Amino acid sequence: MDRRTFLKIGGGLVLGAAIAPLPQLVSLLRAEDTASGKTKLGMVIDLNKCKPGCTICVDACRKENNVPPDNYWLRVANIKPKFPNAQNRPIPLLCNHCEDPFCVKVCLVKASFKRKDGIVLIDEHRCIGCRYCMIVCPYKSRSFVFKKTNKWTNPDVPKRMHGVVEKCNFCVHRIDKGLMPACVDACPEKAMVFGNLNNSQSEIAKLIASGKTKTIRPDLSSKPKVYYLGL
Amino acid sequence: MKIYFTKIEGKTIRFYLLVAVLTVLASGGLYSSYLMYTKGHYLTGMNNQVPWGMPIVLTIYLIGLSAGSLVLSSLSSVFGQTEYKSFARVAAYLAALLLVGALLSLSLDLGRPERITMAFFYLNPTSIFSWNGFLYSAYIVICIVYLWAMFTERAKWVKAIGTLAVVWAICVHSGTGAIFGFVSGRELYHSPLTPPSFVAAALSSGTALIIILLLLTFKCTKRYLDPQLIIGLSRLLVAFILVVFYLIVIENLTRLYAPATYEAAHFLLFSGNEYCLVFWIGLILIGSIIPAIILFNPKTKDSIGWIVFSSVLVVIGVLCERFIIVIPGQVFPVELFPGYEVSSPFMDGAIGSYLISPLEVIQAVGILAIVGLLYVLGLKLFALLPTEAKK
Amino acid sequence: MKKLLAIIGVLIFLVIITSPVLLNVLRGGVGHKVPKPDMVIHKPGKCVEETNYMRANHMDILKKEREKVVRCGRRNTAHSLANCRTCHANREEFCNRCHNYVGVKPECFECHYYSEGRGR
Repeated sequence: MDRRTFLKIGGGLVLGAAIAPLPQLVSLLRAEDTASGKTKLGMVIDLNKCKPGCTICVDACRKENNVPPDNYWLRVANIKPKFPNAQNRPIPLLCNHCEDPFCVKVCLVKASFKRKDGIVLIDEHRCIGCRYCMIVCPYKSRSFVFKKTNKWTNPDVPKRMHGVVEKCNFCVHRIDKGLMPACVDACPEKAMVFGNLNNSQSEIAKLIASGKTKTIRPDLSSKPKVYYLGL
Repeated sequence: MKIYFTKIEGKTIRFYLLVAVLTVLASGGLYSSYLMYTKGHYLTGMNNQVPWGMPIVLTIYLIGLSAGSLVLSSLSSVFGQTEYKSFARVAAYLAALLLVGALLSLSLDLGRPERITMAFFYLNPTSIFSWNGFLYSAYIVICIVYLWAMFTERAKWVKAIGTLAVVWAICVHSGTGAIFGFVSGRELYHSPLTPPSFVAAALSSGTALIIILLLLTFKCTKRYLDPQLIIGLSRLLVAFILVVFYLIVIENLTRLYAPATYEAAHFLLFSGNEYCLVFWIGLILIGSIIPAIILFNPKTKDSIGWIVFSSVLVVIGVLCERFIIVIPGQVFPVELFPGYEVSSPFMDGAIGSYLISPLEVIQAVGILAIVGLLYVLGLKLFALLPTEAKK
Repeated sequence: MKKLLAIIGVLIFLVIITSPVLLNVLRGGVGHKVPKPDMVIHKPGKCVEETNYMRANHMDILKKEREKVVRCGRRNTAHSLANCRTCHANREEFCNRCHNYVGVKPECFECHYYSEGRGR
């Protein structure tokens, strides 16, 4: 083989390697996050127990997780049927930790991922802040950290640096210790129930099995795991 | 007929002045990006309701221009229109630069741009945005190889890579369109027509940009440009304008017809806000109707002055189209509870707002200046321009 | 003329490239040494790994640890940052001393609270 042929073949290989997604394909072999497990965590919120004007769960979440002032991991919205003389009702909205999450599907770097027990988390070490997940989330659960913050309201829990996306993580640091999420604990009316949907004996499984619960926008088929009683 | 490609001299005061102005603008843009990176994105007009603003609009606009330029550069080698061989090198070079500009705009808009390498190591096979990252990087390599084949006058390679380049350009821009078209949660985004509409807008804006740049470049470098070539390009331009118009009409009629998407389409088209103005005046009037009339009217269609004017209108019109694709879809709230009125401190159910901030404008101008600077320096460093362009 | 310009250019380049050394010489004289970091261990004893190994690899240990914790939920192992705090409670007296000496600023502490004073 003479030098020219060698250079031609070598050049061809380099070109092929450059346009083939080699590092990316190799990363596919690195099976990272498995999403099947015996546990399937979810939540039921009883709207009949929700008091108008109450924001105790929102404040507890904000304090527990160092959520910056303009961002909301959990928020209380008011809904009113488009009907004459209708009344406003409060409804807490948070990340639905869907079974088929749109955000996990579209994250460029797999920073948004579904853990084995079904909760959807953001790996804040990997998030590049492209905000595509915010565009695709149909429930508007995600916030972007627009400004640098220097203080912790809860030093036991990390805060997020500016330039990444954040959202409710079901207080993963608490549930891993066997505690309830901060909002569930804080609610004085015990309107929120958190538990394992796969455990047929749990309170949450019984509530959902009763057929009286509804999810938000089930037509989008993201299979949310936050159910509402009295919606 | 042999075409001789030569470098430009690039020693006049005007040239140095141009390079200096572009460098200053580019530095301004980079400084504003630095401010956004260190202090946070609160300096931009973006917020939790509208997380994607001008930088993304500029990114998809530049990708469109790039794809259009690359298809035009292959007119002679792939589509057999040999009279356009004189522009092939400039158009291919411009395609590479415009994509570099687009990637720069995208990377500088990221919240954590230093983590961009993660995008190359963790491909998410279900994410069209992730696939686009691969398509863009391969696209630049293809442009460079294409330019190499043209510089070394290897006709067979030029044809082969030219064909690959055209297919890849269409894939790249369909992929960019799919970033928006695949989003099922937002009525103003979800549409199977977005990828073809993107490709059509890319072809039309790319052709318009090439017309303007070629005329400017040949005039400033005092080389002869046969008006027949420009008139030929303008015939292509008017065809692309009509295709873009057709796809936009179909897309919006479909959205208006279905009750589920009617409210969103009404918000965009008939509610009298700034997006309606941008749509009707920017996209329809300036971007489609007036250029089409100019390019069909027998009195104006063969006049270079009028063709340049309509090209400028198309360039503005397609920028408006990119704006209309990105922003109103976020400003219009996602429908959480059909049949209910929703309100919350997180702007649920409320029309969002997005005001372009000065820093974003400076960054956008800076990125265009970088593309311009690389173009101008490229003319001096590489033999891109023919000594004369005759039909 | 061109040769003179070239020589001047090379000289300016050499000055710029050796400027850190020159500045140090100007500040402290030749042979000026930066004092080695003086680290205070809050609770001296046996670390989870051998000292030299820790010195070289604690960043990789913590990086692997965070993948395990975030992606798989396996917490409270010996290698966690929280466990470091049990013996190294004061970041200013321990971690910062070495980091300042070497000139690195790990971004971990931007999000993970690690006290810089005695106690909280």
